[in-house]
Amino acid sequence: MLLVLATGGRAHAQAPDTGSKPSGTPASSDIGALDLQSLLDTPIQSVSRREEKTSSAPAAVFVVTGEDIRRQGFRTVAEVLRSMPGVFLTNDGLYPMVGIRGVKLEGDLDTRLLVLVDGHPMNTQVSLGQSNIERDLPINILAVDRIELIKGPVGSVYGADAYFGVVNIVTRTASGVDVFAAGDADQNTAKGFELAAQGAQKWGDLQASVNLGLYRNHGWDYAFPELVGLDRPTPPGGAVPGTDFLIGQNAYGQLKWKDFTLSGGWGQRIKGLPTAPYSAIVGDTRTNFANRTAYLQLAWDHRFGEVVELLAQASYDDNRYDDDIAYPEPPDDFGKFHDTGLDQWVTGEVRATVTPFKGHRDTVGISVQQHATLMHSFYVALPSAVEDPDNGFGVGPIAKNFGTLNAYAMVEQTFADVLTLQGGLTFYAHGLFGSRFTPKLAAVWQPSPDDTVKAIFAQGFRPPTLYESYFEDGLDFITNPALRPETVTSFEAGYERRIAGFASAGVSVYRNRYDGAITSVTVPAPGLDHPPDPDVPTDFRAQFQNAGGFATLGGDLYFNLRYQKLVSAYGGVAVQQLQENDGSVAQIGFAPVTANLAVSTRALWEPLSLALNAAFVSGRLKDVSGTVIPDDPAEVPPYLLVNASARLDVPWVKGLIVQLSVYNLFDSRIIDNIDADHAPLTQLQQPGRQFRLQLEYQL
Amino acid sequence: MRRPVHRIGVVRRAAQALIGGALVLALWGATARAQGGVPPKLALQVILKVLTYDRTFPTRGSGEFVVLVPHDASQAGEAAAIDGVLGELKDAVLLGRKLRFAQVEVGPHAPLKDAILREHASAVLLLTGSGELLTGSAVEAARALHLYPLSLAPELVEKAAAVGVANHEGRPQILLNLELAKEIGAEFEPSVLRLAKVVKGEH
Repeated sequence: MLLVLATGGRAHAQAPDTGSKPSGTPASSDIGALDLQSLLDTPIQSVSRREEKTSSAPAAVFVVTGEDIRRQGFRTVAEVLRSMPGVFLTNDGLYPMVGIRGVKLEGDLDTRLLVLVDGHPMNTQVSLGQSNIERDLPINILAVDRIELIKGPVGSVYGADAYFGVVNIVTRTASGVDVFAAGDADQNTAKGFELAAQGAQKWGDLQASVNLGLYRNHGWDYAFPELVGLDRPTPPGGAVPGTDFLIGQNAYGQLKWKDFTLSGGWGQRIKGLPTAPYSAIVGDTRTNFANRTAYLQLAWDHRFGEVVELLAQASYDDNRYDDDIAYPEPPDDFGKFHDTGLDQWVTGEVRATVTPFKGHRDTVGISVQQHATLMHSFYVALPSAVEDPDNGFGVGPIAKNFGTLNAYAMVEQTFADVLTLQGGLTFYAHGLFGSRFTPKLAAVWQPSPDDTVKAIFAQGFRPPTLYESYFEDGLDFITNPALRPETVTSFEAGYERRIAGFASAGVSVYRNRYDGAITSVTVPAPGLDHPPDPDVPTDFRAQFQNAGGFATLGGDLYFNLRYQKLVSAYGGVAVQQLQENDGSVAQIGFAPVTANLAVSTRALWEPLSLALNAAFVSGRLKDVSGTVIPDDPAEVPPYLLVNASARLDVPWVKGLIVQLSVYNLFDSRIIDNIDADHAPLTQLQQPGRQFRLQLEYQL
Repeated sequence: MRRPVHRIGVVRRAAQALIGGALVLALWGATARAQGGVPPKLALQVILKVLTYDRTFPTRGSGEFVVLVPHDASQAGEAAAIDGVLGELKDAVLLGRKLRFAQVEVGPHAPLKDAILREHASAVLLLTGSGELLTGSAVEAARALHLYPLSLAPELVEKAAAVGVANHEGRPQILLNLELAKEIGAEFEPSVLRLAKVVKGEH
């Protein structure tokens, strides 16, 4: 069994010291007007793998609380992320995917974003298909207490995958039971429903919480008239109703007894594919992607006195991916094609945090994993070429077993209660892709309790996924075992000011340099006895390569406001520029400007919360290199998405909450670019106005 | 071309070094001195803010909100230490009600209840080091008069206070004794219950 020790906080010495100027509040103000969450100064677990104040965290951190999530009527983690400054979503019909600070690499299935549920990483090493921000999570939105987002690399603490950023989802543990039922509809037709329940209870030292969910949605009735008359038979008008379906189920539980925590989750997501990728039959509902995630973790977290905390945890993860791609039956083709990806791994981690004297903290930790992976692509009706060299197809199962190690040390020293310096170093080793040291240096200067200045130098890296390096299907993809990890070096400076105890505003400027970016390129098929013919697709294959580098220079403006229970608002603007773009790997999908705003109020009547959130994304270039669609535009247009929600705590039925939300209030035409897997399609229009009715009952 | 894999030795050595380092740090840290608590002004702000989440707060009067801060003779030091903090908040208000803090020394000849009635107190704030006599009197008065029993000492919340604050991992954590809160008629909203650590009462 693998053990892990874990960390301690900075003990009592680091309580927010507002003894002389608490939260910047004038002495004459009404204490009732202070924001409680600000007073408690939302704890952050993700920056240094321990809780600390957002303002003093040595990283660009943004937090959305459970209260805001519920007021806004967000239904998935993806929707919450979309409301955060510097974040935008794209959706290719398979998964919602995250872009951070303008960057969303083409075809990247969120493999560069580390997603944690209560600190447990959800990313896999195979990554044949994943998103980790929607229905493939083992929790639903009822379980979420808050979501923390770090923008920028955090490789010095988390090792691989913390490349564009980290999303830490913290679940609720407070006693109580919530039951939730929701129905969705578009402007005419009933489309889907969701049932969910969340419960937590405490008996002495034993605390338990459970989260269950079921979701089904018919999806958007798409039509792709641009496919008519091209490479495949297409229904009249390109209409493909019923192909956008989504089914999700989840179960999550946690047991705490004294220093021990046992947690486990299971999630399943099955998604229809309206775009008929990989030249599949257009409009065939048998074509779908399925993700199944499961894990079990046991943690022991113990404090020895006031200054030492140890954490040890061990976990087992099982992540499966399956897809079915429908093709014509023989003699026209070989029928259904199937892809399987499997990653099973055990993790052990030990972490120690020592706070030997006021203002100083040391953290050391080590995490080891052992993975057993499998990828297999095949026509259901055919043997592999290994089994039958004459009539078989594909290479059969691709199995890779390997270990990883992530060891880190971090030292933090505060001088005169105003200046904190942090230095960290991580050693990461991958059994297939080598090893690497990753440093981090940060300085946080707080000349007053209201003012914080940060300067951060950080690196991140990401080893190739097994899919990128070793996947081949005998059809479209060939391997590249020589792939090496890609890296990012980041410099960031920021200033944040708290205003009158109930608001804060900040600005960050940064420059990130990305090297060795892994991306799919088209190469001649191996073994050709003639020069590749550009007019013959079978003369080419897709291969992942370290295809180039790029840099981004940008800045964020953001704010946060909470005044009593009356108004809550947050938002910001991110502006960024692409530089040193070797190989054009980041041009496709790059968003120079994004803006986000979320506002809610109870000013009209306290039981009634009215909320509005908006997201703006500037135009982005598409991949039209191989398009055959006439007049296909080179970029997708900018859009403004506005959602609204009204949430009523029914006064005459204690515990009952009714919420009506309108997604895409103005029925905006939102179009996302999609990658070459969906060719000849190069873009996908997103759903229009949608009505959501929710009933929630809190026992 | 696949890279040669010969990393296991490096991995093992790094693991051994880090585990050794962790143990050394743990031993070193175990000998170091302990740290302090939540700054009293912040703790007091949190406690008072939590009271605004009591649904019955609006029904508990509309004039001055008087917080009685009792101490006995053995707590002169604690009383002096809190004096400056109370002075900083002397102009503060709580949901429109002007805050006033009244420090009183109580004892066998100066019962707490008399001070409560004299000062028209709405809440009683217990300081660190409050003895059983004082805490017992505070609970009894709170029950009888439906006052808020509050504490700046986390260890007193279990037996004598409805609301307190502790330092948890370097941040303030609300402590709520719901049994006592119920006895004084308070009814806290779920939104604050989600943020608080509920303490089981001993009384």
